[in-house]
Amino acid sequence: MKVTKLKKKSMNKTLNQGLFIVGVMILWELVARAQWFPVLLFPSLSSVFVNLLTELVNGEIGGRLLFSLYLIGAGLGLAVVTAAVTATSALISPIISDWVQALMAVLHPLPGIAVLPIIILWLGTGPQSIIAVIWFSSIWPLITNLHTGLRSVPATQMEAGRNLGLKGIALIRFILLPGAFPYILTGLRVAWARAWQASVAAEMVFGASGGEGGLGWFIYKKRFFMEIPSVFGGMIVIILVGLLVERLCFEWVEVRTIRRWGMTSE
Amino acid sequence: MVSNNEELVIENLDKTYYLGERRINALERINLQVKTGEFINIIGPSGCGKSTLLRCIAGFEKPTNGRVKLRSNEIKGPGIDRMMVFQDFEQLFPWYTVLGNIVFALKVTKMIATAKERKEIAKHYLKMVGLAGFEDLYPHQLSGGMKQRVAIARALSVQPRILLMDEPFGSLDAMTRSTLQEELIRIWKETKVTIIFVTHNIEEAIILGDQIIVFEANPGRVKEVIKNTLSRPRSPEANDFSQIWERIHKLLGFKNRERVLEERNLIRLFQEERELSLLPHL
Repeated sequence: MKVTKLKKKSMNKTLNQGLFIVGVMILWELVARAQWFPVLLFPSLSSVFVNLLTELVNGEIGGRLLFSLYLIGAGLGLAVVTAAVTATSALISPIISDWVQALMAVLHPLPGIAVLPIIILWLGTGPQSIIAVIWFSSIWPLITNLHTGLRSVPATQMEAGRNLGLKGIALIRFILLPGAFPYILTGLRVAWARAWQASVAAEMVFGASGGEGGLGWFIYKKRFFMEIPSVFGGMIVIILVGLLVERLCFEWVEVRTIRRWGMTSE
Repeated sequence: MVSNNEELVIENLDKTYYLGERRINALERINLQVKTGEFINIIGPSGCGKSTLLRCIAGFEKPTNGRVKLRSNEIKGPGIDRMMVFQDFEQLFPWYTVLGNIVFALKVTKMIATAKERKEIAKHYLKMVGLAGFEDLYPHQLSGGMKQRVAIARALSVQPRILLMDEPFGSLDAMTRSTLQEELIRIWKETKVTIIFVTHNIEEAIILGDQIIVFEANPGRVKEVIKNTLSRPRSPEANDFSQIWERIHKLLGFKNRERVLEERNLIRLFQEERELSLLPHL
């Protein structure tokens, strides 16, 4: 009884939210068609979708998306490796732990995009600079969460592991990493969001070399040519990819891991 | 005559902590012999070092002086010949099922070669602690008493020589506690494992132990060793039971409240320090 009621409630919520979004879309279409604003600046939603479809078919947006994903993959991948090495060293040596904490306190408040000018001077205006900015933006949430997560593992679980003869790498691999997993997942989520933001922002400054660029560059270029439906189209693709990754990747993993293990606070 | 069935010998063990300038003698001159298959209870007030002694036997902590010998080999660190069951409900690995926790123990200790055998043995021990049918649940789905049962099954599955129990029933309600005491005695008889059981509950000590070692605090020392020859099953209603109870009660004594609180604070500091010092062990 109770379960079905709960299910019904959450169904109602989803329905409610879906209807709201559809409502906003209809409102957008109507306002655009009423032509209260210049059509050039406020295109109708239907024209945005028609445009998007064309760009999907001719492969333009797909190519941009792939390029963005490649940049994010490289930046985020590097950040994960760096964070893992840093957090592990901090775990082994209290001195390094102090350093890491100092670094986090000082550099965490600095938005990734703020380092772009100096990165351009050091690395030039190519994909490598965007990857560097993505790396810088996503590394702090990763390190913070790993650092906290590894320390959140209960001492008794560590001792239960040591009692079974585990030490060093094996203790990290079998006890600390799974124990810290709720934090690791949170870190990855935040890092992914930051990486997206950083890549779009960085590309808007200079795109990438030789006219190659990702979605940020796409939006920027379309604005330059006043192809406003495409500007919105680019934003919609970013939203859709964000939603897809959240729902398909992160939530999929969460349901099968920390929620099944009862390691969520909700 | 020195008999050769001495499982564990503790010789002149001291454990000293420093909290800033302050020196604390958690344990002083501890000498104990435990025979194979015995059920030993250690009882004492908070801060008497009874848990510290258990942790020295487990190898989680090193004695300042003296040594602990298991079958004449000096203990250097943790090992599966001495398995600990903690009071803390968090000792199970939440990312494994009930069965998975035991299978994992068998796997990392390389006790059993094949996955199929590991599963069978895990099931055997779960049945022993009365948890057949709960194999696929995760720890967070279990009650406190069930978690402690799994912890006992996991500890026994690697066939330790000694089961170390640090107030394992201390956080359970009275009913569950007494059920688990009975079952522990059954399991002890079935497996013939040697058990060293720390408690601060007089009744629990009398129901369980062959020997009751009464500790005093500041410094942590053995005050008296009581042979408990009451016939099993033991009931608190029996006449002899209350005699032993009175004796232990007297030995433990009464202290004024401030003293107890001060000791409790010290223990907290020990534990915090222990948690901080855990990571460098890697």
